[in-house]
Amino acid sequence: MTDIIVGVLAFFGTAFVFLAALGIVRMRDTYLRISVTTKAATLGIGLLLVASAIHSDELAITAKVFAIILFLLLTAPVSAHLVGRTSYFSGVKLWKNSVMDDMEGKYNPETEALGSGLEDETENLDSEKVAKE
Amino acid sequence: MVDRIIALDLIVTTGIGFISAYSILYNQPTLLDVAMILALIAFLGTVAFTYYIQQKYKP
Repeated sequence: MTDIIVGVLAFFGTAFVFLAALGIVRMRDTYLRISVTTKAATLGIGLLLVASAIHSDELAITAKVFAIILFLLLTAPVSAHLVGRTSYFSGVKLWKNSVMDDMEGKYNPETEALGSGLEDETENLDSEKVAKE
Repeated sequence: MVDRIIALDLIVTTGIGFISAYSILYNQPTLLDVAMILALIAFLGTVAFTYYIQQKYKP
């Protein structure tokens, strides 16, 4: 019974890691690659490690495996965010068919100033106030 | 340039997967220590690489 559970978990883990590898080949730009790789690889590795924990059936090994999974779950989004931020700031273009760019107009590459994109509206409000006065 | 960082991250993560599959196959759960260290090194490497690329593109 344990062998069946371990086999199923390891199969799905390997399948998700394969999907991550396929995604890094087939996706069109850096941002899509980051998205695919982070999610699929984290889930796949988590399943493989849980399979290993069930197979060994020891408390020490299970604790170690959960420490690894927790660490991966904590660090994978952080590193994905860092890579995405770096690629946007170093001028990597989006794929031409990408639908939206939330950072458009909120980042100035010359001065490296980040904003919320609402600065112009507040300026307009201020000028309206001045006009009323 | 940034694609290589993503690829390196995926390679190391796949290495962790290899190690855990190997530990199932040959019944040696001690090897999972190596997987933990690999996970640590992957994160630190990604942070360092992104930091230096950001320094390079600073105006």
